Amino acid sequence: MTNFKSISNFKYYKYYKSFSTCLFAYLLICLFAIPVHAQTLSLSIWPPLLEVMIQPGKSITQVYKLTNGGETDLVLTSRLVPFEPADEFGNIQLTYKGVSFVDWFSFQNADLNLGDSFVLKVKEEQQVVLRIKVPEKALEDDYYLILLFESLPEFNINQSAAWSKIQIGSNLLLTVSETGEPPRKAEIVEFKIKNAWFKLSSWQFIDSFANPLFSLRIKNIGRSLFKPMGTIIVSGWTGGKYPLELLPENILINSIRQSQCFSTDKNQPSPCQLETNWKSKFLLGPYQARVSFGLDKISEDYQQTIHFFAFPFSLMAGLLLLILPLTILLKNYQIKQKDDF
Amino acid sequence: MKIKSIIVFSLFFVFCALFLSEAKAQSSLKSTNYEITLPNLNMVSGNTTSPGYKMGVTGGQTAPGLYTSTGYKIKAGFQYIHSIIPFSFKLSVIALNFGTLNPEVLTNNQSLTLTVNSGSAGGYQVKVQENDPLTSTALSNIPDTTCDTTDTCTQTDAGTWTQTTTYGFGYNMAGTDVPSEFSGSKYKNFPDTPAESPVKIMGKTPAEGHQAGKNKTATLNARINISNVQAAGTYRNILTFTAIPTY
Repeated sequence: MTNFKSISNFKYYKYYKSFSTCLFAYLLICLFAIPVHAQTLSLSIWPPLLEVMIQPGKSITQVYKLTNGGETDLVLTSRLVPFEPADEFGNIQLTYKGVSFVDWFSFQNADLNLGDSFVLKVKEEQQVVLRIKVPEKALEDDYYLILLFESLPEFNINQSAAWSKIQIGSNLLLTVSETGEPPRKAEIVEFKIKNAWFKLSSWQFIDSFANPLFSLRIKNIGRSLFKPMGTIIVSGWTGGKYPLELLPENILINSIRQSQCFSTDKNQPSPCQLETNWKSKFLLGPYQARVSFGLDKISEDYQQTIHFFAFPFSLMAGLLLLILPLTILLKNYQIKQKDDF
Repeated sequence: MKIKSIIVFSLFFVFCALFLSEAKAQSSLKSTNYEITLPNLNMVSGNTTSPGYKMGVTGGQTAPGLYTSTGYKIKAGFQYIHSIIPFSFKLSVIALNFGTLNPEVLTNNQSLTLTVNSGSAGGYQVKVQENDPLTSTALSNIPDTTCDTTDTCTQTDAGTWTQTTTYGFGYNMAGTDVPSEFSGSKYKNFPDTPAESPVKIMGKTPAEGHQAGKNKTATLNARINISNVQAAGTYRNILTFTAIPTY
């Protein structure tokens, strides 16, 4: 009996020991294990855009702030790449052409040169001081570049995977000018109502229930970038005037940009569209829209006027669709009644 | 009388110390979403980084970041943007790890989330490019998909990918500010450097309705489908994601 009891106790002791060991190991894992999750890559940059006008022979510096917001330390490199406009909306296309003026740029940091690799640790910020030194004999022209920071990819040789590399850029628009007033010239390529129903001669016809949406395309035919600054003013036969403020966006040399407006109510860029409503601005009759702007200054150096006529076409069409079948039905009814008599 | 004067003076002093607000030079303007640092209010302000001229970084007044001195004009940031949110870009994973691939199935999928804070940018675009097709150490490769024969795709044109006999490596996009051609779960393949230019996979400009804001997210769903005769091996390539603001 005693023997049996001791054997039984020994068994229980063994189970107890195993259980305790497992529990201890579990607690150890729970308490001290490093959480495993997918590593993210993140970069941020300030400022996203730099516009510089500078005389030949002068130099300036600009501080860029670069932050690693990801979950892994990054080995980064930097480079300047020329770009050209990709479309009429402000997107860019990197050209990767070797250009001589890249030599004008350098980093002024004591421990970092442009093109060198450097480590940016998790949640750390690196201030990069870009120095632009324009030679005395530099051509008076515009130079468009992007300052790119890119991560070097990490590999695990034994893993089938598509590895990610992150790049972030900041645009740099450089104008070299002796006088500070480079020759700027614009051309209004198009100014029209996008949502007009049809056009007769110089008049566009729009539905009274539609909000006129203006399309304004401006081309830079000068020798330096500019921002159009001005308004589109819609005025009608009632004497009311409805202004739309143009968004001062850069238009680069030999490029066209579709201009947008700025909504002061929303404090955001917005389409150049007249917000009409039944109570205040229901359009009916002849109207004119006049765009006027200056280059980098509010003026009326450039202007164009279009005329349009607002008419409730949709309402008329609706009424017609309603009246026509009713008339036919009524006529049929009258004929039937006559036949009955 | 003297004691009374002392008491009155003391009380006045205590009152001044406790209740009168401290006069400070204003260094920032704040609201829930924005902070405008170094307000200049028709004065020169900002960081001087070298002797001989003045310059700096601000955002949020009539002419933000505009500082002139002899021979220079500098504007940092967008004139009409009032946000101090830096332009930032995030990828949710460092690699699209496909593990062991099953042949002739459309389930070898991996996704990656792209997040952009475009608060301080007028607009933005994210472009993608691969260095090479997926290549093994023995130099076999998994080619870029051209999608189903009935609706083919390239790196610029999207197409459908519903056949298990359609092989290759491709992707589609879903989420905020994604080009419309991906709708209907259409796929493209990645452009190869340097012959093919990177393509836009996310982004908007003011003309396309861009609204400055935080946490714009889109998901890239990558897919591999291989045939039964695909050589065994460890395949890999590099995808370069580039985030660029508009000008």
